[in-house]
Amino acid sequence: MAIIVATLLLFLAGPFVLWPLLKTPEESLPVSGRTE
Amino acid sequence: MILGYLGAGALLAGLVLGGFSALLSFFAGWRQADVFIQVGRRAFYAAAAMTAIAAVLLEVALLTHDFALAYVVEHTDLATPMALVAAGFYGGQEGSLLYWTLILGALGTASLVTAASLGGRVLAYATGILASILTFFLFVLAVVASPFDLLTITPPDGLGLNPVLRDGGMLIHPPVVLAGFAAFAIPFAFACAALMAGRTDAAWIRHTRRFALLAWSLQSAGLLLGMWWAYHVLGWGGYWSWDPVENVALMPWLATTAYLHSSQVQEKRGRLGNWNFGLVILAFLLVVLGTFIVRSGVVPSVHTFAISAIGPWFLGFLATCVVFSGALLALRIGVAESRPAEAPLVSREGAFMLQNLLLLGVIAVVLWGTILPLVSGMLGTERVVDAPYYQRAAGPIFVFALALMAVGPLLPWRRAGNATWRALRWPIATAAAVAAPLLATGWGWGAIAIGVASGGVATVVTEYARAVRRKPSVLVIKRRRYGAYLAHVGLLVVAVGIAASQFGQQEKDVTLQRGESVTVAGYTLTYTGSEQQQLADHTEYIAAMRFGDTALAPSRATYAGLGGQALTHVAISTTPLADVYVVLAGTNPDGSASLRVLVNPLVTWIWAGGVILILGVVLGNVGEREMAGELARRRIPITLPA
Repeated sequence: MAIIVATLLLFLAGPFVLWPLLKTPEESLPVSGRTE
Repeated sequence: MILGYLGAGALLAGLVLGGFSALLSFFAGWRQADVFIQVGRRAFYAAAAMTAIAAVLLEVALLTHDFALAYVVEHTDLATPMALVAAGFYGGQEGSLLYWTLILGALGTASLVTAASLGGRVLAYATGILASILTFFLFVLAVVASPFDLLTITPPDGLGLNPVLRDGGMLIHPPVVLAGFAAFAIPFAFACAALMAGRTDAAWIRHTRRFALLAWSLQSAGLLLGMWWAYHVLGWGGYWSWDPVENVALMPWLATTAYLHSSQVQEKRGRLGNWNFGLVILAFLLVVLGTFIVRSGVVPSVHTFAISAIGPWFLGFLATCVVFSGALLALRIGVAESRPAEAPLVSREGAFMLQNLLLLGVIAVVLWGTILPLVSGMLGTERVVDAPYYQRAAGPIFVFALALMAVGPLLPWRRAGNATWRALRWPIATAAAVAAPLLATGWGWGAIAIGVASGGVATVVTEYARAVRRKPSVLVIKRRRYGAYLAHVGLLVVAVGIAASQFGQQEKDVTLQRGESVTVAGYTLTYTGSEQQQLADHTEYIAAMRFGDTALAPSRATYAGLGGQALTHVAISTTPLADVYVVLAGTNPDGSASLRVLVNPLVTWIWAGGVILILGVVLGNVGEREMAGELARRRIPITLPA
């Protein structure tokens, strides 16, 4: 049961933790200044 | 029951996230991969959040009396007041570990969020080290000593909190001490990260200064609150018994005190870089050693409620920390020393160095006394040292450290001149004037300590007067310096209180019939009778005493349900010069009462000094960073005068 709860919590935390990897290149365009 | 599953799940999720954060952050720091550094940091935040969720769930379980959880049963019952039920969170082994982990997560998050200026690699390694420590604690919590373990049968009521802990002190002393311990991890993590990244300038000191100060302040307050609690609850008339658990809280405090001074040398003069790394690492290792000693019960202590089987895990953690930080220091030693220029012996820097050596001397004395039973037990016969050992060995060193507090602030950073020697006349005259009459009373080292402490106060007064005479606004502009002086005054007042109560204490054991009186040190008390009260879980014997116009009621509680465990409730009457402290040893069938009466001079100075000390730290640092920024913009130098 605790393992199921832990798995659910990890799924919930996943997007927050992995956000720097999940960001699409377009979203980082204005910051990086790249043109392609 | 559902709270147990949710809490255990949160701890497991935190463990996975913490381990992931540690591994990824070290890798990302090594490869200097910015995206992975960010992911590692976010994983740490998430692990800290999981710890917070687990903490909230445990508190909810306690407050709702969820007796499906073994921890709730073992540390609370339906009759316990709600404030103490809430305090049950850190009243037991597992809960106090969770509390520690919670503070580590919160402070670790705060330190990482504000650390962007240190650069990617230092940040990554600091994240990795903090996450490793967090992961260890979460592993112990999730696997070895979980506060969410469930009972197969849910009992209707719990066993309640240990009677010694059923006190207002329980609400504040343990959380402050534990938070102080947890806070030591922040300077340690950033120091090691700076070493790993080869960034051995003072940037890590500037970033972690507030955390080191926070750790030191919490530990100072924790020590004093513990002394206050022991004095008011344990009923032996003192506040410090050199118990191993007290000693292990004192040692990191001493190391951090040394570091807070020597780090100024690195900030102002660019020296003592390696020394500062060593001190911060030493402070944290002493915290881990202390945790091992408290949690394992390897040496006899009054804090036996904390004993459990997690000792070996902490021994392994201690060994890992020693090897890791020792190897790091050995590999990087020499790199940090950027300016090996020699400082004159009689200078502020020389005073700091001497103070550091004295404090390390005290640490060595206390450490030896603490681990002697362990070492001697392994070699054959177990030997234990008691208070006289510590007083003889550490007392004179403390007096020299007090003397440095009188001299150090008056010394310039560079070579001392005639003006310095002239400035010393006030503290020396004050010390001599105060110590001389006390020496005549036979107080020995106590008289010298009080005299020297008075000299220290004279030094601070001299410095404040000089500032007010020249430019009063300097007290605000250089608040860090003058706040530190106020903290000095607080510590000196504490020292006077300790010396007076140690050397001036008088006690008398008496058995009094109704109407009889006893006089101790000029204070007369009269015994007027006793009564017995039968309460829910214990029997209370109360003696009625009269002290002038004040009624005192020392009592003794016996808990039949706990094998007849007895607990004394001390009666204390505080006068401006001394505490009259009455302990009821027992009531007799003929109506008489056996009492121990003590007169403790100036004990209230210890508590008052503690308040001044914390006030000095707070006043010296509130808005200090903003002020420093403002001065930098206006190009006003904030360095101390030479």
